[in-house]
Amino acid sequence: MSLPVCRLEIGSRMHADLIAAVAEGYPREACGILLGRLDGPRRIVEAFRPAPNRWAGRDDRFLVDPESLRGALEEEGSGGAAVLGFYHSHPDAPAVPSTCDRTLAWPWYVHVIVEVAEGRSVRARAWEFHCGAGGFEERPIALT
Amino acid sequence: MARIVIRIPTPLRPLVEGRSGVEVEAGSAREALARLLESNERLRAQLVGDDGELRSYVNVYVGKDNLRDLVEDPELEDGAELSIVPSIAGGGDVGLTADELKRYSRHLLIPEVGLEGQERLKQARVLLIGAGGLGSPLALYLTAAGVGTIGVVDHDEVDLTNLQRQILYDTASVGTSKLRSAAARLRAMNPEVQIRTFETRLESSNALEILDGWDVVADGSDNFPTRYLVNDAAVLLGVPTVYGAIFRFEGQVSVFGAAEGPCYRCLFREPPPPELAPSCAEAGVFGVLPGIVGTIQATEAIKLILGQGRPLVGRLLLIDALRMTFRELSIRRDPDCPVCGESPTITELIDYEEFCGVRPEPDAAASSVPEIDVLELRRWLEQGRAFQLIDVREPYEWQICNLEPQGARLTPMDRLPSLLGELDSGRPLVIYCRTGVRSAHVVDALRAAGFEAVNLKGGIVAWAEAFDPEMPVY
Repeated sequence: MSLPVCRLEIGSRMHADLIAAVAEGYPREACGILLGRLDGPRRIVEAFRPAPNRWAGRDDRFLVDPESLRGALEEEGSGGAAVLGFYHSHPDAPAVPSTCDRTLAWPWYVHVIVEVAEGRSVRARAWEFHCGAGGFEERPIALT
Repeated sequence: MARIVIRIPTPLRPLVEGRSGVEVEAGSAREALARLLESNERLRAQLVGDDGELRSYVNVYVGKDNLRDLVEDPELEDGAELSIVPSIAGGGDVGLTADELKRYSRHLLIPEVGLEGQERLKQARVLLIGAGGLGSPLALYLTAAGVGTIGVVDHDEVDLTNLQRQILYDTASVGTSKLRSAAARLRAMNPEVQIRTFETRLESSNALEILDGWDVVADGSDNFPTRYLVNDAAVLLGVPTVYGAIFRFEGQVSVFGAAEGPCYRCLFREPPPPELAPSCAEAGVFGVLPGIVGTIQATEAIKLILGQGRPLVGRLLLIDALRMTFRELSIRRDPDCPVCGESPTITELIDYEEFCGVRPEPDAAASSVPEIDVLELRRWLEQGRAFQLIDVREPYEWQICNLEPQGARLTPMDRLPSLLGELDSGRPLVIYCRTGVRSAHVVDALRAAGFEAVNLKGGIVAWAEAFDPEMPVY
């Protein structure tokens, strides 16, 4: 399937709020859903919704609460905000997709990863998974 | 039959002509899903595994119920909806880069290593004591295997005599710092690995600090004081040690200080007397042997990290390269062991040189017998003084280099007692060996027998350094 190269757009205030929010779960990974609208290749984030991390037994894994995601997709289906992608934190690890991220990745969605070093958010980077190439490609984050 | 709408998430819509929902006719939820997939092979490949079950990264909801959680297959009415919901998961684990996945692909294919094991290796920290014969294969294989952080403790420079077995170095490294050469070689071999160097002599004052925080210590030291020091420090810190030792054609390997396992002191409570513990420089070593022993140590270190196989805990592997035999001795944890026993008496590091009897003082002969240095010897020769120059080394050493042009004669020390009668008691004797240690003992004995004997300080090595750089030394 062909993938248009997307661009993530997010208000700078919301971006700051998002990366601050993920640090709260440290040292456990935090995760959530990016909601907004699509405009051609633009993915315009209008809200982020923290989701419970349902991965049990390890701090360095995350599983977006399935019920939260089901609810978001239901809202999308009824004309609500689109599910643009997801975010999660990498406590004390760089904001690049891990092997686990790669193994479990879904294409099309934008995956924002926030590096949290010693409890403080360092930086966020956006990634999109390519089924064909089997890898992640970085996507720009445009602050608006 | 009911008309059921299956909601498709955005990533899968290209597989259903871009539609957000697909309508099928079915009586139940599972039947509806089967209808959807039977006509769409690409979608089936995405959602269903080889076992016919839904893949772990996808959920199907009937209303608010996850189909996975339902024992029954719910019957559905006209207009009911199923939703395919991605399962979004991942994790900031150590991860392997695309380059690393390729580099370690032959490991990833082995079930005992696999992705998880390779990530464990990447997270692991192994400290090597010594960058010599054992440290060379250890460092090279652990680096190649992708052990994330490797520390190396050594304080020597590369010597030409090392190159017969210390495969970390090449001829151009001679005279340079071992650690600098080793780090450059290891980084060139695998830039993904962090190499930490400790260019210092491991001593009681720094061992706990240096050994702390490592997952495994691999001991490639070549002397008893260091071996006991490493054992005790590692036991006190709770770090397992992969032990290796070599002598000529024979080697030993074991894993000490593992949970429930014995330590080096359980096996050897006390060191042998120094005269029975020759170094490689004194006794010689078959060059390939440290390669065999060091690679077995590397194997054990990797097994400990992976938690796979049966490590050499409670087993001492004895290798005889000449007969090419591998034997195994069982060793048990000693409840009376002074360091890992039930009531340990060693709870902090001690003076290991004293413990092993290798303080400079015990070699009293070397410091107390009369001696001349090589300058004095040369003066005596130039002055034409009447004296006898005696080489007490072994014949094979004499073949390598000797002071025959200066009038020396060979009288190996074990033959000296029977040749005393041939010595001229009227002329002083100058006794030399390789570095002046053995000859000091001979001088001591000769003087006790009434001869006027002096030792050549520094031996033939000092002579070569001072006056004959072309002389082959060993």
